[in-house]
Amino acid sequence: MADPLLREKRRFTALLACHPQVSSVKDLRELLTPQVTKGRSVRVSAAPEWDVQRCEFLYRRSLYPERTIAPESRQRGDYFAHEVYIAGRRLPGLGGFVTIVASPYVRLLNLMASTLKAKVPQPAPRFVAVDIAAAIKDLARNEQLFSVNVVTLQMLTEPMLQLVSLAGQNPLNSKLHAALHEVTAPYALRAEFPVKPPSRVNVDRHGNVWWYQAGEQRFASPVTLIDYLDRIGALRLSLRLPLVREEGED
Amino acid sequence: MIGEAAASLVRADHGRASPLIPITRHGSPAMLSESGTIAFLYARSASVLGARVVNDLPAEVRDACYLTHGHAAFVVFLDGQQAAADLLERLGDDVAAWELWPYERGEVAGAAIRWRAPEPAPGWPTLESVRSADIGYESGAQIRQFNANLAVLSGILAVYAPEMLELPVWLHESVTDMAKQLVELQETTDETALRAGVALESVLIETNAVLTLFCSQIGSGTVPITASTFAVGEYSLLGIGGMCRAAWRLYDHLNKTFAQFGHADTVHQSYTFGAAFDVFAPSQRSDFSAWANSPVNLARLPSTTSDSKARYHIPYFSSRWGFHEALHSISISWQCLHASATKEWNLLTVTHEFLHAHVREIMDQIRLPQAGATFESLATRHRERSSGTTAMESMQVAIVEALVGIRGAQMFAPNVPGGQNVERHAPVPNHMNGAGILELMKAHDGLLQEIIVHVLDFHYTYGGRDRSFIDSLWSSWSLVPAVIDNVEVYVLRTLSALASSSPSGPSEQVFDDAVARLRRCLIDVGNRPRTRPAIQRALLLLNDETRLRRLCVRFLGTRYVVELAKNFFLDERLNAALFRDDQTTVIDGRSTYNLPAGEFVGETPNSPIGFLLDRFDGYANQAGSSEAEYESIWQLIQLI
Repeated sequence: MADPLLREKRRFTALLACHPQVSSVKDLRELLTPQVTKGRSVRVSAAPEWDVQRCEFLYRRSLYPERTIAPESRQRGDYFAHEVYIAGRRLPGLGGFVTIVASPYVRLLNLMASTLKAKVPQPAPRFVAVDIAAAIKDLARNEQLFSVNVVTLQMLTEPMLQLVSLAGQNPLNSKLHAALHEVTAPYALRAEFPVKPPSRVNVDRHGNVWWYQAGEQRFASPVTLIDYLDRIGALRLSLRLPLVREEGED
Repeated sequence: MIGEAAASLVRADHGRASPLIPITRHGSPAMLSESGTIAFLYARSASVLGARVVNDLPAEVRDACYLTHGHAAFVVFLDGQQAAADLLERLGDDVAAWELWPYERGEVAGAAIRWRAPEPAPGWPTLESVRSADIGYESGAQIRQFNANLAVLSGILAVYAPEMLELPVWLHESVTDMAKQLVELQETTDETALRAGVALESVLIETNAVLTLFCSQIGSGTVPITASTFAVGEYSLLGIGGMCRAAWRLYDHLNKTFAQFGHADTVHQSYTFGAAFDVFAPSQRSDFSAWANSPVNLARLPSTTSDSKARYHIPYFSSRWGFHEALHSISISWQCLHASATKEWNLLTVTHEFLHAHVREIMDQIRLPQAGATFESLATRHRERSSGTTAMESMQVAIVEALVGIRGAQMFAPNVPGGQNVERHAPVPNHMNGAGILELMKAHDGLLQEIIVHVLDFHYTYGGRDRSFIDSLWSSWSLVPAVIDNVEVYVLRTLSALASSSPSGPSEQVFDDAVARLRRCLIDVGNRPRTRPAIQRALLLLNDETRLRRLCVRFLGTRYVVELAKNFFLDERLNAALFRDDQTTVIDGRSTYNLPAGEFVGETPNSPIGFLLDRFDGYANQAGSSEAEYESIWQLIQLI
């Protein structure tokens, strides 16, 4: 049977969440039962600290493109199974256990978030937001395992223009970035990891993380980025659910 | 309701009461059980505590929680003492203080009331009394009164509003400085010294009057509530301390951001040696390109690192003064307490008042006589059409040229009943002298500064957005009787602000563009259910060709001021700093906080201005919306 996650070369979006009742991936899976079933451990060799599992999320219809994945192949009774990743580890900087739920389908992530809220209403789950400005400041000074080849800035002084992206080998150290510094605020960045083909992970200030995943081992890229952000103290907890992005993006 | 519950205890206080608004947007008033405990919660941060209550507590507690305007921002009706103890334990350090009122059969058991007062902020300074011994009797009395007022204020703020630390410190420094000046002035007896002394004394009197009022407002509703008094009926039980903190947050953000850029100091330091610019090239009021990209535009000058710290106002609520700015105070309309989420009483109006102080400080730097310079030499330079040798000299002459233009246009306008040929040159008196300049300033400086304030406000606060700017301005003006009788001036002021973003060109073209934009937006404002004579009169004016031609002549006078403000005083870096906030997102091509009224996320906006502007378009107008009161208190609590 075709592996949907391998066949479906879609962009993954991830949600990062924390809750006092979730201190392992197993805890989260149990809370999301019965929508989430069948966890299978995935060893991501470049990120051994992360417990990564591949699970099925049951939804009332198949979201997969029919030309590649026949709905019947995913049917589980009245529902259709969608492969999702659930990963987790304790982040020392944030001081708590963080779980990542990743899927090509944002609506499934929204469903998982609302299920979690319903199952553990008090206290409400927290989501992870990112201080992009702190990350940019650190990245401009210190080399990392990845480079930043896109930075997105929020324009603060022009009502007709909201976001500007600078792309290139090193936009953070460009003259244009320096010139825009005083009238913009950092909004998002894209990290590129030096593998073949390159692995690119986007993150914005709200905690939306998205990347194109060419193979299961590439899951190491987003979690490595999250580890870095945690290390420099650029993560914080928020009640706000991310998953809001500029219209027109996938 | 709470008044009724508390009536038995405070009957001697003539039934004090305060409004309670359910914390959830569509909540309904609680049915009081026969016995229970009322918990008054004082938050370190009301937005954080609100988020805890709404998101982290069981639904039955959330549904029994109410918002208030006081320092005790949250009131919760609980089953009994144990429930109260459990609640306080769960909320932990997010509760800075509390007061518990057990009640039985509808009567509060006064003897059983318990409270815990907040701890004073660590390291709070002790402010020594300002010396009054060597000062004259009247001024000395004011100083002594100030010392007493400041002691009261400092004591309250240390416990209930430590974020306001800079205010008492600054007031102390300012009055200490005034006291020194008064001592020095006593040593001379000439008329100038006498006038200066009286002026300082007036400032002290005004400061004390506002300080007394502010102490009353910020000190209302402190623990224990039964002992705290606030003689304003509708908020008499719990006071308005929380709203004072919200107002401070808004003001402080504005003040600190502007102080960070130090424009007045930059003008003082950079203009003294900066290159002169051509004052008279744009005298035709047609081509202002000589000023574009001026090297002495504040936007191009590095911010000055100066030794002077931010100066402060006391922001307080007033039904008498509405929105008003004075040397040491900014008053905010009393109606904002319950209607800040309406177009008419929106808080963005504060920025206009704040900008008056900002513009006044810049103008004070420009008008300060430089060494050897006098108004006579200024008059000579203007007469000789000399832009001077420094940017300061140029700007001084430019101000005179602007005032001359305003006066000339005002003189000409009534004489142009609708003819096509409009004189472009304003009459220059044959022999302008120093006294003439002073007369000009007396007569027209007010309008000049208003235009500059409006231009800066249009860009700094409203981001150059026509609709929000016009709606905010005219919704609040629509309630002011003076506007109805003088609508031409207010239309002129609005057009002048809009002109700062019109495509450049001859003044008539710019005027027509601004008129079209104002008319378009004002029609929508005027179409609301409530009749607004000021807006109707403005629209009549904008649709009357004859009156528009006369107004265009007046606009010729103000356009010079608009271009001065735009090309020299507008700094987009400051604009960016006012709105910078990581909590905004971009949806549908628009930056927004994406925070519907009723949600509590526990994150105080870093840009109160940006937050309120984001909400403005959704505000009710005064005539509608039963939810305006909820939205008003909800949004102010987000700021604390």
